[in-house]
Amino acid sequence: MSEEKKNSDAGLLKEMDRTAKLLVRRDLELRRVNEELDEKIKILEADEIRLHEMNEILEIRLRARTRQLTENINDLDRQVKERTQNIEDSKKALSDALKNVSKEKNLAEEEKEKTLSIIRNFSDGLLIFDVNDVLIGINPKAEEYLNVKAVDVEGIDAAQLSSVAELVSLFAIIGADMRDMYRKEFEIGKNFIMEVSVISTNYKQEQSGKFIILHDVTREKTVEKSKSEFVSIAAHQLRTPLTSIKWILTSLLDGDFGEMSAEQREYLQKTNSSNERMINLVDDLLNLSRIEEGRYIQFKDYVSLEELVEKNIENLQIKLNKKKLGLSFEKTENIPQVLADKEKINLVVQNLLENAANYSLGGGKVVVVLKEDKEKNEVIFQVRDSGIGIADDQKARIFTKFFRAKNAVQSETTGSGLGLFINKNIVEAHGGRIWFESEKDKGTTFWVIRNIWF
Amino acid sequence: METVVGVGASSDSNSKEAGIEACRQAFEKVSSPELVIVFASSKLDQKEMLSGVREISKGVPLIGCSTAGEITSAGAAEGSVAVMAISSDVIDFTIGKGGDLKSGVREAGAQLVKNITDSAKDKTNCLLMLTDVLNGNGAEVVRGIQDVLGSDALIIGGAAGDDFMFKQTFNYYNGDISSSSVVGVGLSGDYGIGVGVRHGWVSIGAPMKATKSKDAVLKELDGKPAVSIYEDYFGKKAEELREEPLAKLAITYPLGMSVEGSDELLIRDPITVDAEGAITCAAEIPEGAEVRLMIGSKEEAIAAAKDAAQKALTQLAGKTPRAAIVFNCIARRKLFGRDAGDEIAAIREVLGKDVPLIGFYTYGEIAPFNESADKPFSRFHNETAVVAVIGD
Repeated sequence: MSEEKKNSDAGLLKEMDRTAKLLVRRDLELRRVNEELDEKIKILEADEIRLHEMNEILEIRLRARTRQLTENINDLDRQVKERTQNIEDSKKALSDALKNVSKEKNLAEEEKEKTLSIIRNFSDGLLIFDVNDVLIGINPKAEEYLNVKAVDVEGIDAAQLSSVAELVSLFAIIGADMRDMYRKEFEIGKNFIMEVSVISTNYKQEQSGKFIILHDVTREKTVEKSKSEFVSIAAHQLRTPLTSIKWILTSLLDGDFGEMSAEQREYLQKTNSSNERMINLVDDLLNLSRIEEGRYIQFKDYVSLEELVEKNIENLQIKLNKKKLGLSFEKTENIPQVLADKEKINLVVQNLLENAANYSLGGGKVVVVLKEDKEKNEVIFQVRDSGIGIADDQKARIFTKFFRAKNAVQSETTGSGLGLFINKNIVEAHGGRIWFESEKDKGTTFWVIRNIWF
Repeated sequence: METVVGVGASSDSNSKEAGIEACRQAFEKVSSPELVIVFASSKLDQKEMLSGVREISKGVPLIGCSTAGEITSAGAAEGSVAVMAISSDVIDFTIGKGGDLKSGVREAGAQLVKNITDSAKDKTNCLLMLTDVLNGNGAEVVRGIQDVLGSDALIIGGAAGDDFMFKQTFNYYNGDISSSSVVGVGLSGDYGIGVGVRHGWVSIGAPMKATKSKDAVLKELDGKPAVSIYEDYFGKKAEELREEPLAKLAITYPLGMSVEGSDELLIRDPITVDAEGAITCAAEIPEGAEVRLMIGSKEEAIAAAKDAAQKALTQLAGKTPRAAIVFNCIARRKLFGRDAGDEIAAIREVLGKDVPLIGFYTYGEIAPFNESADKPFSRFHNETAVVAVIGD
């Protein structure tokens, strides 16, 4: 190989190497660019995957949402159907209810007719007021009794009615405010006596109106009056001779007309005690007639109850000794005097003490209490015995006229059945109260209470 | 059917699930596997992944390693697990492991062979090995094996990868995971095997001479610091080239050296540069060797891969290919970039699409250099595609 060729080869090689270096640098550059691109593509691909995933998630969500919406729509649809059904049901129920109401209404009309018919044909007079005291009904009997016409008085209130001429006397008794009252006597004309009652009607605990009932008691009153007059006259007629007999018997027994044999004296004593009983009975009858004539409480004065009770206990002593009864008197200090009809109050004390003695068994004990309740300003008189007691089924009638409990009749044959009736009248006439507690065969306690300022 | 092979792969982000799924797929076709090969990304939790595989494979003998990319019939993947399960009436598989590379690279290779031959029933006529080049010269391991098995022993395999991090690779041996180790499986019996080895890189620029070199450290080229080759050709300063492993930049521009008995130059990967400008390669460059800078192109690379596959197939001499194992250099993946799949597709096109295929992107390949099945001479390669086909 010539030197020249060698040089030329070396030059070529050098040139090639230079080109190679150039190419390698280009290639390196290209590789770097490619790698960068690859990295970017990788990122893009990852993004694409993420986007794809997101898309899927969104689609899933969309599907879920669509399903939810569909369900909601179905649900709404169902609800609408349910509502419609409910409304239909309500409509039907309402229509049924209306039918029932109309039935009820007919029934009510019927009931009303019945009630009206009863009211119309009622043997007593009836005036019916509404809650505002306006007269809303008057029956024919009431029209007749009061001499008014329904058309003239219905729809008018009590205040105005009280000034209607025919009704003045009625309202004088019941008052324009028509307070409740029971069987109050009321005389319309001569020998025409009514018992008037005012009754509030309540509906569900609220006052709904008032009734006035007029009951004709003319006949009963006339009979009663005749009876009372008879009793009064009879009693007076009986009392005078009985008193004469009493004085004669006393004189005889005192030996004013000479000595008698023991046998004569015994008969006369029996006659005397029978006469005494008779006098008591006639006194009771007289009291009764006085009570019924309304002229009983005569006059009032200050009375010492303490003295009164003590005196009565003294008078009772013989009887107590006879029956071997113990008696104790418990009292508080300085009991004030009370304003009362002394004679009548004495009757009460006497009667309660005698009853206690009469209906006690031998060897028993009577406790008398007289005390003042300062807080209530009341005086309390109490008589407790250990006697025969009062059976439960008899208690309600104990204060009624001529009533005597069965066991009382059995143990004590005498007794008018007027004592407690008179007592009650006397106590109530004085504004007091009387009541009792009792157990059969154990004993009875009576209380009398009255306000000291009455 | 004498040899049955199944392949499975999974990209599940859960390491354990990925192991389970890949192994289950592989086991679907194989009723009673005798060998399990696992190639898995180093990004996965190695323990979890392998426990997932073992949950399915149970006590079936297992070898494998971490990779810089996984290869299956589906193509090239990253961050995944690939599993091959094999059962065969004609092949006996004996797995084994060598000692720690740090306490003797050549010895570890020898120990691997002994470990296998001690328990193998028949003569081992092929050794598949997986090693760690971050802790020991790959070529030394091969020589260690040859010390025991003879220089004409058929040795194939790859060096484990760690996804281009060059920090730590892992080998799997049954349920054990180790670094700085070599594992392998010996094949014995009457079966066919073909191995094709091609790289397709071409030399560029003027040849240079290795004027100073010791083992894998190339100190001088043409009397200048070895790194000057890259300074000259890349137009960059040595400092730049030292900033990160040279491998990352120079991997697609390896060094080639002529070797007797081959038309192609033997490729050596430059890995690091030291302060003096000496280049440490993946395997040794003997002093006096003619060294060229190599450059690659996709077309050449694909043609080479096809050629390798064709050669492997030819060597089967009419036997039916049952399984293919590919040890493909990470440099090739870098060269192809996104188109790495093209190379695998090209190989499958040659082998036949039904042939189950597994493989991985390596940090070095082991295969006979002379492509002679009769009297092979296995060596450690860089930047090369090795296609091994087993048939019966």
